[in-house]
Amino acid sequence: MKRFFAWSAFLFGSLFFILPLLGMTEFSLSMRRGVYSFDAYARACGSAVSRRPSAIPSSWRSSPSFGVLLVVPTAYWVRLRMPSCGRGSSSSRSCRWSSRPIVIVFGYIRLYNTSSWLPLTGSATGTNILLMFGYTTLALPVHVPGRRHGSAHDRRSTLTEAAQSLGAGWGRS
Amino acid sequence: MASTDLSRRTLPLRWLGVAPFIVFVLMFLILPSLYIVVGAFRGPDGGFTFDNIRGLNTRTILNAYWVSIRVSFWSALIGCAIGFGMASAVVLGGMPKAMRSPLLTFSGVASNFAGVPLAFAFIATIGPPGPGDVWLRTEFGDQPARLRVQPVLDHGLILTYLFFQIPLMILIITPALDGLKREWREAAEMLGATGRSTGAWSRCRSCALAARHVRAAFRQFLRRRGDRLRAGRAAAEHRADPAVRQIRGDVLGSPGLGYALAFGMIVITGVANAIYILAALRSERWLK
Repeated sequence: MKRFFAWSAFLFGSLFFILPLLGMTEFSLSMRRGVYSFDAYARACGSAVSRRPSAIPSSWRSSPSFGVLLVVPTAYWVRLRMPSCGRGSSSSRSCRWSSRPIVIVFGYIRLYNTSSWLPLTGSATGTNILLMFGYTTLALPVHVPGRRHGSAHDRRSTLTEAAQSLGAGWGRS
Repeated sequence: MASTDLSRRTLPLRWLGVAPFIVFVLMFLILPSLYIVVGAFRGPDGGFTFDNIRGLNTRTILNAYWVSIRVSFWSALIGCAIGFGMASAVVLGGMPKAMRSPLLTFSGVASNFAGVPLAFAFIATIGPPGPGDVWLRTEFGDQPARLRVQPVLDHGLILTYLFFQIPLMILIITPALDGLKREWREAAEMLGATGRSTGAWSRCRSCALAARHVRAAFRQFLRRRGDRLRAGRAAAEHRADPAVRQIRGDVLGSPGLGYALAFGMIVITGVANAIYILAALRSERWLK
């Protein structure tokens, strides 16, 4: 009986996941009236926008790298030198839900417009940089716990000490 | 004395390592949010005022907040129930172990499925052109329109949000179910518990999981509030939504009201966040 209920719960939940995906697939194949076809896919793949790599904004492409550059050294440093602060980072994962994108964009436009002390929106490059910072901010709650889980089991203090005793320093590897 | 002097000297250097992160968070997360909070209490002449906050006390704006909270609440609650059922089935229900890994992997992907693609999936399924709607019309005719689930209405939104709420619950509760210690069960059985749901073991399990449930529910509540789909949907449908009203307020010459609306959203999310963090701390104490 326990197994019956378990399978029922599992199948009910799975159905909920599968149906929208099936509906979406069916819709995407129904471009030509009356028959299923790959016309929509052919048109999407053949469009000039999808073939152009630069169609993906540079701010999108660079924000993961910037996020890693920002979070990884910080996580390393906190774990090595400030382990007591590590617990606080777990609270930061909820930042994503407290900072809605629209609120952040609203604040950015007000703070970094052309008449502000840091006029990032005054040029295309500045706007791209601001967008990159925005994406990074929204991704922080994913970056920080991800980094924390990834480094939970490595012995970085031991490895750092070993590297330093072999002559490595903060300025040279 | 010497060691105290040393620690005083090394303290700034220690903080130097996290300075870039702190500066970034300050400039691009805290300052924009603070700007909105301050703006909510600033009048057109720049002076302090409560007029913007008082301006929120209108029927349409309060209704907009209420709709948002109601959808968040129900989608979190139903998501918790179904997600818990699925996670329990896989962890405690005696299902094949091979099911566990695909379910968790899929949950990791589906919990991030949001925004326009999610809206499109449900519109394509239960919207007017979708097979769900076609089936309802075929079976019941055009008469029972109330049977139709439209993605832009409250119950349709709840249904749509469940697509990521259920996986989120699975991801949160599975480690908690794994963390139920065998010793607890043995201790409960020694005290007379049986395998039945009314036993002491069940009560022990409920206590251990209660905090995790609260945490999951509030995380889902927050997750739903952070989703972008609703703002886009509301903009398209011209329905009452705090985010859209915020933009309108700004555009239509009342930036103070726009700030106040955004401040209201921050307050609601902040309260839910505080409860989430408290529940997270409590559940981590129980289930390490």
